[in-house]
Amino acid sequence: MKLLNYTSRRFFLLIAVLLLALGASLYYSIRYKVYDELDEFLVARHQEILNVVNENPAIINESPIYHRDFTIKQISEKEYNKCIKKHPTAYFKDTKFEIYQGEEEPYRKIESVFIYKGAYYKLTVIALLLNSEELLFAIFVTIVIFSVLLIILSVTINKYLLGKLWAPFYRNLDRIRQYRMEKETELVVEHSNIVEFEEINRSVEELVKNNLAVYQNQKQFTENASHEIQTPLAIVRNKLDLLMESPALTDEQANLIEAITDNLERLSLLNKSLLLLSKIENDQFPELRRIDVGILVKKYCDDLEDLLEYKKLTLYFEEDEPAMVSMSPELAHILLSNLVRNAINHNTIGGYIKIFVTRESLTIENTGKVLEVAPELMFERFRKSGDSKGSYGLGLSIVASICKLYRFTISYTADNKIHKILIFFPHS
Amino acid sequence: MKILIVEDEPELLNSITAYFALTGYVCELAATYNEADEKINLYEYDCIILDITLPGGSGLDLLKQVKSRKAKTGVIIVSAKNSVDDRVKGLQLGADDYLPKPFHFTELNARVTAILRRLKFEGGNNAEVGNITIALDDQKVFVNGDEVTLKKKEYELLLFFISNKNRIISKSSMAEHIWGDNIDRADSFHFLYSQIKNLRKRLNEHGADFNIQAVYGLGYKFIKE
Repeated sequence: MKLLNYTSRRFFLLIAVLLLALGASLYYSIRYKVYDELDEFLVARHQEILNVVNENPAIINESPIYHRDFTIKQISEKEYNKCIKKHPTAYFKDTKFEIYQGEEEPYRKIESVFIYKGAYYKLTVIALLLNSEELLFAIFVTIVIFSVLLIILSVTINKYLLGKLWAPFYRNLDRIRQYRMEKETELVVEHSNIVEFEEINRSVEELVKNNLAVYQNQKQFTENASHEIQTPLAIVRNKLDLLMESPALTDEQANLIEAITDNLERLSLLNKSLLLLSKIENDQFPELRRIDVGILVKKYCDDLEDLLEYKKLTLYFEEDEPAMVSMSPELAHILLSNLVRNAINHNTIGGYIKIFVTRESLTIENTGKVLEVAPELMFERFRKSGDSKGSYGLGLSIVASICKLYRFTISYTADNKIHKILIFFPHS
Repeated sequence: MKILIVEDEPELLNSITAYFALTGYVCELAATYNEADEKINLYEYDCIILDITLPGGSGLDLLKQVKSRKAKTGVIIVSAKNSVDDRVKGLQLGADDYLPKPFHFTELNARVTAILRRLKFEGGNNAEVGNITIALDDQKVFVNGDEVTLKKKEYELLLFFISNKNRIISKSSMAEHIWGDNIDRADSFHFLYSQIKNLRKRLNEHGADFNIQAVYGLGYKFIKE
């Protein structure tokens, strides 16, 4: 959820609750005031009538037509006593009267009993009450109108004011997203005069700066490690070359030298491969060029023509449409030559290799030995099937790392003695 | 042939010198930037074997100096960095070749020989050993004037052997020369054996006076029969 939406949603919820509370308090305060005023009026009128009764007793028997707001009714002594016991003074009561064809209106009345010349009477004064349902409805309508106005106002504010305010934030976000550390440039963000944004900007800039330093350090370390390991390897290898040249070596010594050379070779190749892997994973091949996969694969096959002939392999090459892929030329070489080499090396004498290129895929199918492990495990480091001599189990993991780097999808399936590698090149 | 070896690692410097002395080249040594700078300015060399990381400066600056003069000096960069940047930069500055460490002497020797050949003969160049002649531009091999037809890898191997005549050539250096940087070398030795067998047969058939001889445990040698 976007921050803007999040805050507006909370804001609207809060407004709704507040408006409800406002409505309720408005209703109750108006009602209280109305009752207060009405009661005051009723008390005054009640007193006025009682006073008139003393001066002009005729009023008691007058028809209610002349004075619609009160009635004087003669009551029994028993009734009088009951009433005086319950309400020693005048009392209020809410009631409803039917005024016209079943339509009832709420009224409030004040009642009291009195004795006039030995007779008992009950005086009731009434006044029309404000209809509370109507009051509630009026308040509700007002609140709805205000809510709609508020929402329109907030949306407008969000869209124009907040949008404008947040725009630099989103622009910076884009810059951060597009930032590539391996290009080794500093991150430039748009500065803002809003304190919070500026704090984020500074923190991000600081973070990137530190990471860049760490990255450069690490890159340097990879290179240094390479240098440091390769030099002693080079020395040992060259000393062995010299040792081989010494005359009168016994067969035994020659055997020792051979064993040392072979293992040293292993060590140098391993070191080279591990370095390559770490360089790929650190994305240290930023150079991109348009690579024609078909042409390169064909070239590697031609280069290895003698080897194909030696293993009596039949090569089928079919290109549906050229596959143009944007990648580092060096990695393209490593990726494709490794795949072609694999298809030849792990083939059986008299087998075949089928290569099929489409606009966005490369398929290499070849005969070979039955795999002893699940094919997808072959992408793991140091994984090999059976006793492949001279294989270090790094070839396919390098292939997989390169595919991962460029978001190619690679799959390896093996059906008995038929091995198939399929790479998809997503075209943006 | 006069060669300058610029290398800061003393052990490596000694080994390279010892090896090229066997070949009969005159070798001079420089272990620092300043030493090399001085020697480059004082003397003429046919070839310079140049390390990039040197105490006191970068080998690339020395390369610029050498190439700014008209003298025909071949430069081969040897570097432990094996980074594309260095390779591209070096070759752009006019280096004749780039060889990552660790390398086999036979490989270095083959590269140096190729550079010297190129610089000395200017184009239409041949490599000759005994009665074997290789026309490098056409990639054709002749024994006593008769053409010997060879397959691509056989040709590459023969050239490698000729550049390293009389030297011991180990299996691994051959494999590296033929396969380059490739990591997976499964089966490649079997292939090499068969190529050598064929090559030996072809040379014999045509009566070449140099041929490949197996050296027990070590590899092969290209010597006069």
